Amino acid sequence: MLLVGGTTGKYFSEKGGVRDPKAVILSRKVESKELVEILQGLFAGVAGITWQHVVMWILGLGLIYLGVQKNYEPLLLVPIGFGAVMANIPFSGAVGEGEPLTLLLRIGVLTELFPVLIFVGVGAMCDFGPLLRRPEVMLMGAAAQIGIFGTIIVATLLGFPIAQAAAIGILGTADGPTTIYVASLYAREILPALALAAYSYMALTPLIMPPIIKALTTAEERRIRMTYVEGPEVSRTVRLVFPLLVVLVAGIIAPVAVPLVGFLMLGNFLRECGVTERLNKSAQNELINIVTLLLGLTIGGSMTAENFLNLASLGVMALGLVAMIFATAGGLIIAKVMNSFLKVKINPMIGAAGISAFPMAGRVVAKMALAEDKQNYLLMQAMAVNISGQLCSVIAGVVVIAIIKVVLGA
Amino acid sequence: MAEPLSLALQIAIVGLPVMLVVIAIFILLAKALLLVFPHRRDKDSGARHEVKPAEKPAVST
Repeated sequence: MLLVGGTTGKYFSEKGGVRDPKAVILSRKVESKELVEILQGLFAGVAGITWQHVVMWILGLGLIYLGVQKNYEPLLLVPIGFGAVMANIPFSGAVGEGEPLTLLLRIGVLTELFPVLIFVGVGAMCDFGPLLRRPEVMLMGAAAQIGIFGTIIVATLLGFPIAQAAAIGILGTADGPTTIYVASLYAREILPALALAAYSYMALTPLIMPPIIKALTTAEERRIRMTYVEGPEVSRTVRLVFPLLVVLVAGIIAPVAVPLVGFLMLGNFLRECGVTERLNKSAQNELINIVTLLLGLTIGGSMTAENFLNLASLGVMALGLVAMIFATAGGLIIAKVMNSFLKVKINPMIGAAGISAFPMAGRVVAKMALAEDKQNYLLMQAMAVNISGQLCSVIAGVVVIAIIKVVLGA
Repeated sequence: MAEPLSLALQIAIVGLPVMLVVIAIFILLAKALLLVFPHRRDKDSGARHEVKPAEKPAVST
């Protein structure tokens, strides 16, 4: 390689000595050939752009737009969108053997590590107090999980293999980490689409739930007032024993799902025990923030055009919507059924808050109640059901994992 | 198609009741815990009282 002497016009070798001009001309011919190759290499990225890349950029930028401008799940949609853009630049150094996003996918998602770490944070954020005051609200949380099984059947009818159909069904929990956990066990091929569907529909809860609720309730039902009577505080012993019991019982039923429920309840125990305040705060802040960033980036990084732009992904996205509709309707219908047995009627809209999208589902219901009647405050009741939905979605995930393990022998 | 569909139906037929039973177990466990370890009375507020909250909860996932 020659070094050009700038304004002096002299040619120097790398060692600094003056070279023979003939040799310089000869070298220049060789050099110009190399230059063409270098330029070709430099512009290979431009030549490598395909329409699929452009579609994925638009998708990635769209997710960033939804996060930044519309404030829809920005903590997830921004890193997912950014990851998708990075992964879909031709010859991107962010993805591929040994590259950062692929490495994160292997160590964090395919090992199920990121979802379970997120569960520590979610557990630390969950106050099971309202649920423990009235454990029967779990019935509405349970009803909202019925959509899982309906979606599994629909997915099978559309031609998805049974393991993938089961993972798609979990979209009905509206629970991102549980969806990713089950997908990483049984449906790695469609994991990016599943993760995107889970978080997108969770972000779109305020748009998806109201039409379903309005279609299934009368204005009179939506105006039912519920007086919130704050009962006596749940004792500390109950708050401490409950998470431990959940781990033991769920773990015995489905040992394979111990990480799922165990990490969630560990987070909750850190919150409730009162002697691990630093760990509790770390779980609620640093841990969940860091892992959310890495998870979002990884999911975005796995959304390469060749992985994502296919009929299966479109099917997953469509089925995700079906699952959300089933889930919202399930909780709401059970609340209406409960009403036929209750003397003091409940507002059936709180049943729809049984989906796990916390706290959006609860807020949507409370907002709808206020829109119908400015004095109808349902926030606390809806949040109790929403929290129960969080727990029930994990239990539903545990049950599906256990059954799939038996059915597939996996 | 027939075999996956039959498996899906099996999962639904078994899974749904199992899930409901497991959740019922948790409801009963929670009720039992509340019986064994009764509610703690809030010394300041005394008896039950009505609350009409208008604030959003601080937590957000």
